Amino acid sequence: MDAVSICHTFDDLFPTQFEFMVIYHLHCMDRVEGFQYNEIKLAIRETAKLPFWGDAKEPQVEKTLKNLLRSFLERPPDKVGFYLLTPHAVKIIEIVLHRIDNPYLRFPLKKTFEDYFALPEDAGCDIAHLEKWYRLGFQDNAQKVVLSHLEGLKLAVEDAIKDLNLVLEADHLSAIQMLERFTNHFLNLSMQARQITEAIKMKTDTYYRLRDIADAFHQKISFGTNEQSITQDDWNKVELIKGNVNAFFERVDQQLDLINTKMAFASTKITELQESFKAQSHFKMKLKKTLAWLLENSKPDLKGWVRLPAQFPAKERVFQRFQFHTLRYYDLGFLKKALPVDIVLDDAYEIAQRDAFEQELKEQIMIQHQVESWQQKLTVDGLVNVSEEMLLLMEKMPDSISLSVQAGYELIRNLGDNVTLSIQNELHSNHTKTLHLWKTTVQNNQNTIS
Amino acid sequence: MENNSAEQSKYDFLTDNLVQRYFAELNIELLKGVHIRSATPYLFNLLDEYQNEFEGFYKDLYGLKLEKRTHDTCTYFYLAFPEGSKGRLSYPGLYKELEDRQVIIGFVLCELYISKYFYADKKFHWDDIRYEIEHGENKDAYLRLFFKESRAEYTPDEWKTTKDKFETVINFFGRIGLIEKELESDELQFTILPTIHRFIEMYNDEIQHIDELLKENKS
Repeated sequence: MDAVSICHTFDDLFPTQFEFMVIYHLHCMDRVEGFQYNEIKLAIRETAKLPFWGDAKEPQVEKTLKNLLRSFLERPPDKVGFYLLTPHAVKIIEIVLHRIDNPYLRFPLKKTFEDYFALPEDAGCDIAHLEKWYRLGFQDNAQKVVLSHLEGLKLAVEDAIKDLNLVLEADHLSAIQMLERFTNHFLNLSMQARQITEAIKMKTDTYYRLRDIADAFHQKISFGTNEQSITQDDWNKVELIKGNVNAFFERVDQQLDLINTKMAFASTKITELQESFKAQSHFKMKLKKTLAWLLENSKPDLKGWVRLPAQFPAKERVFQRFQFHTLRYYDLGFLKKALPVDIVLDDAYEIAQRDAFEQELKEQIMIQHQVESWQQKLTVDGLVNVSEEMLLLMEKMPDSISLSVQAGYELIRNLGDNVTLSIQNELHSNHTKTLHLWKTTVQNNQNTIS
Repeated sequence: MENNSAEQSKYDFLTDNLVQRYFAELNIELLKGVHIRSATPYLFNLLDEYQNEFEGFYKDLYGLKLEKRTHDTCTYFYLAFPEGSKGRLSYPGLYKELEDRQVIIGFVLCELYISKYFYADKKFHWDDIRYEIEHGENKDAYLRLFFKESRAEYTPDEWKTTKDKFETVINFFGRIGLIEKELESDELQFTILPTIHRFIEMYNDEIQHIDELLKENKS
């Protein structure tokens, strides 16, 4: 079903407040033969005069009648010029009247339970009797009646609580009058509480009796007594009845709990009021006066807020500010898997690298040897022509220009304090003219002196 | 030495597993001015179990009073200053005065609370406050205070500004545990808790002597 058609159906089925009051007016006339057009017109006009509509406009009689004909008034075919209230209209009026004056509340809840839940005496002897009680009594009547009764009770309790608040707000009542009214409502609540206690007891009794009957049937199956033939199918029926009755009782329990909670709170408050009625009532009045005084004497401030009157203090309260600074959490989504990966060996690269390292090492050793040999020469001869030695080395190993340069550099870098380095403006070159050096000599001063 | 051992036994409760687990949270909540009720059972039960010990702890170390109150079947704890002193929280950053707006709206909330005296559930909606402003006994004063002038109608923006003002204060009372706000609702809906009596208690003197203030104003 789509929402639009549900909405239209709702509009058809439920009258406006004004329409309802018109059909209620007609209902009160209690006319079995029906209503004539003029009577309906009068009812609409009379309804429009009711004081709570506010603006007293002339009612639209034709339009209202047309609207009422959609679901609430009908023309009987055998009576020309007459209108009747539809059964639906009567039902709606009954719902409202029922809400205001619930007929169940005239009878104690206990009686409703007794009338509708009492199991027949022979229920334990024959399953057919138990089934009859369940189908005709429990399913068809008892559930609806008891739930309606509980609903009525709940509304009565809510009304009593509402009335209690109204009494508390009635400033014109004296303390004694207030107390009298509170006591009346309190008695009303106590009566409802007693009813609920009795109903709970009845309900429990019924359930235990049903359980005993179920047990008895079960024993008959287990021990195979011949007094009556009980089949497994029968037993299943008993269990189903027991389960359904229990489920319904749980619903009843929920309703009773709801009513009890509301009543218990209201009763506590009444007891409190009775204990310190005068003080509470005075305090309530004073609180009201304080708020009125504050609102009257406070002023709006420049920020659009309010400023208390100077005589009224701002009270201090315990307050420490706590702040925790933490690094912001970044959600990086799924973590990347970092599984270990086997590295594939590159043999050719490894050999090339190994050769390069070995070559490098070899060159370092050769440089070291060369430097040591020049240092020895310097010690023995007292003089080394570095540029000439470097060029000679190059002649011996033509591919190693870096070797001779690094050896010369190392020698000069590690010269001692007593050695003089001399660089002359005289260029020496190898025969291929790839290396050009200024004439460089080192001289050992100690050796010269000696 | 004797003194030391006495001190030791006085604070032995701090070594209890549950105290160690929840003390940090409890201490922060209390010092922030929150009222602890059974809605946070682990904190409430801890205070209830070690009430005497915690009273001593806050008295000795903070110079504060740990108070326990019961109103409308609800029991709650909070920290309060002793009479005429601020304990060891006299440094201005360690306490706060209620703001003017909090006081006024606090009284509005108290009035709403009392209006449902016999109802167990004291749930309210923004419309309830709006009704008080538009049609309540103090209608003129409300309009002057929150709209600066009394007019026949106010724009939706003006109503929104007023609603926001109330909501800001209601959020504050929610933070200190006097109100429970419906977080799942887009509308402003809240329940005034029995802990609102703490606010009433703070202003008890002023409420009791309101007639004197009224006389003063007249003269």
